[in-house]
Amino acid sequence: MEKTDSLDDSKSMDRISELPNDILQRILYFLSQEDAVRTSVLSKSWRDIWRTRPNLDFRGPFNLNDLKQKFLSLVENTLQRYCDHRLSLEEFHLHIWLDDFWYQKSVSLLEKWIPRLKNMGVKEFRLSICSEHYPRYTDLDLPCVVFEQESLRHLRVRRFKLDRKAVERIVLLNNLRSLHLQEINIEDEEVFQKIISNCPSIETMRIENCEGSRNINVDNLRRLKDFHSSGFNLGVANTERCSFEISHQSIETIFITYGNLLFHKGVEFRFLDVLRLHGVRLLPDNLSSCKFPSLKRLVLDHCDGFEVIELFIDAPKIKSFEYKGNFVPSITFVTTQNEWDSHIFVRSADASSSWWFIKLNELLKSLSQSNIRSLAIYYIYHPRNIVHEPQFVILDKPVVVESVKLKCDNSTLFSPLLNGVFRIFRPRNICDFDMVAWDMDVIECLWKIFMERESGDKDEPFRRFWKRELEE
Amino acid sequence: MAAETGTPTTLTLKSNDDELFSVAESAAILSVTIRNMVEDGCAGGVIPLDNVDGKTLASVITYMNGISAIPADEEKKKSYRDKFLSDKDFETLADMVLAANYLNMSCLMDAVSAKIAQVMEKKSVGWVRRKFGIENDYTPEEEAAVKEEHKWTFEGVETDDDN
Repeated sequence: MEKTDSLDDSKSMDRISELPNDILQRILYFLSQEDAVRTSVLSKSWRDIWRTRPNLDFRGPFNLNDLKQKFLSLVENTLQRYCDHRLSLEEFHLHIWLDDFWYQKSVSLLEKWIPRLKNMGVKEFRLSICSEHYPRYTDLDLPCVVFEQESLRHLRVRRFKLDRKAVERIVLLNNLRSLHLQEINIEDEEVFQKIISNCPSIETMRIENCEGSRNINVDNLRRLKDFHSSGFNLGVANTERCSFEISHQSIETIFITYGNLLFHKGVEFRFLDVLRLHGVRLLPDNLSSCKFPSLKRLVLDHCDGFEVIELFIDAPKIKSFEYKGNFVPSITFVTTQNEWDSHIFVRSADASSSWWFIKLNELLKSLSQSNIRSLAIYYIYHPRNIVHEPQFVILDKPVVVESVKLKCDNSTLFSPLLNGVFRIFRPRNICDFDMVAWDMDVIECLWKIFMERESGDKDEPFRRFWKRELEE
Repeated sequence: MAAETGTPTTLTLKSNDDELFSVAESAAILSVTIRNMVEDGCAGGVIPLDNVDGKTLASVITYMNGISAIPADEEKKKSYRDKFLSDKDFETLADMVLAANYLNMSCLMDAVSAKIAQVMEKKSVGWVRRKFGIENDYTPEEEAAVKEEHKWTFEGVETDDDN
C-alpha cells in the first residue's frame, strides 16, 4: 500500500468518475474480473462501466448449483449487452464447469456464445472447459463448438470424451497457442491428428492423465516450444506405452512421464534446453545420432531401451545430467563443458557381480569429465542371486565422487558392496549408509576395508574420520 | 533520436495556457495526433494542443524524450515508464491520461491506466471510494442488490478499513 500513497488525494473532488468512459474502460482493462466487477458498487455512475471494458473473464463456480444458474445468466446478459450496444470486446476468457444437470443448458449456451465472438471483435479467446462428471467422466462428450472459434488462443479441456463427433466441425485454429488436455479419453490417433493439423501455431502443449490414442504425433507442430505429457495410458489392461513424436524445429522443453519417445535419426534439436524423461523407452541409436546444441539439463529416470547399447549424447552446453534406474547404463557425453554436474542413482539386485562393478566403473570414468555430485546405490537382496565378493582389478585411478549414499537391505550384501565400490571411486563425503541391520559384522567389515586401504594414499581426510569412529 | 537525414527537425507545441515547447519531431510523433498533423503538413508553424495545459505538456514531453532515447528494448522501456510514473500523484496521472488520450499515445495511455488500476487492485469498495473521493449515491437496498448480483467477487479482498 505504501508505494501507492503518493496517489492519496486529500481533496474530495471525484476526478476519477469524471474521466471519459473510454479512459475508464482502459483502466478497468488492467483489473482482474473480480476487481473490475466490484467497481459496480462504487456508485451509480460506475454500475455498468465494467460491462463495457474490452476484456471479460468469467470463471464459473464449481459445484454450487444455485450460483451456476446465476453465472450462466450473467455471462449471457453481459454478452447480450455488448452486442446490443455494439461494444467492442477484444479478449474473452471463459472458465466453465459442466455437470450432468447443467450439461444441456450449458452446451446450448456455448453454442450461442462462441460463434458470436468473431463478430464482436474478439481477438483473443481463452476457454477452459471442465466436467464434474465423476468417476466416469470420460462418458461426457466434449461439445464440438469449442473447436469452432478461430480467435481461440488458449484451450484447456478436462474430463471429457474426445471422439470423431467432437472434432467434426473443427475449423483452422491459427491463433491457438496453448492446448491443455487433462483426463481426456481420446478416441484414437485420427481424432488427435485432426486437432493437430488444424492448430499449426501451438507453442505449449500439456497432456495429463489422458488415455486412448496409441500415438501422440506432434511432429507437424513447427512452433511447439513446450511439450509435457504425464500419465498417458492405453487402458486398464494394456501395458503398452503411448508413442510420442515431437518436431525438433522449435522445441525448448520436453517432459514425458511414461511412453515411447520416437526421435528421428540425425536431427538437430537447436533450441532444446531441458529433456526430462521418466519411464520412457528410447531408441538409443536415434538418440545417439541427434545433436543437442542448447541442451542444459538431461534427466533419464527409469528409462529403458539402452540396457545393452551405449548412448552418445551430443550436448556441448550440458549443465546437469541425472540418471535413475535399475541398470548401469553406458553413456558418453560429447561436450566441451568442464563445469557441469551429474547425479546417479542405481538400484540393483546383482551388484555383487564383478561385471556390475566394471560397468559402474566405466560409467563413472565416462562421467568424470563432470562433477559427479552424488552417487546413490541401492543394493537389493534377492535370494536367487548368489552373493560373492567381487573379483576384479581396476588399474586406473579411482574416480572422485562428491557424495555417496549406499543402501542395502541385507547385511550379507554389505561387504561385497563396499569392497566393490571403494575399488572404483573415492567419495569426498559419505552422507548415508542405510543398513537394515547395523550390526558388528558390518562395522568390522567397514573397519577392515579402511585398514586395508590405509596403506594406500592417505590424502583422504574422510578416512581418518571414519577410522576414529570405527575404533570406538 | 536524430532524424534520418541531416539536422533533426524540431517542432513547437503550444499548450492551452499559451506556453511554448520545443521538441524533436522524432520524439513528438509518438503522438499519433501530432504525427498526423506533421504528415498533413500542418507542422510548419506552431502546433496548438487545446486540451493540454503547460504543466502536463511539459511532463508528457519529458516522457517523449525519455522513451524515444531508449532503443527497441521493451524491458528497458517498461522500466523507464515505471520510474517515470512512480512519483506522480493521482491528480497528475488523471491529467496525463487525458492528455495521452487526446494525443493518441497508446503506450503512455496504457501505462497510466495500468498505474491507476494498480491502486484499485484487491481493494474493498469502501477503500476505493475513500481513496478517490467517490460519493456513494446508492441506497443501502440498491447497493445490496448490486452486490448480490456478483456475489462471488466480494470474497478475498483486503478488509474494509472504512471504520
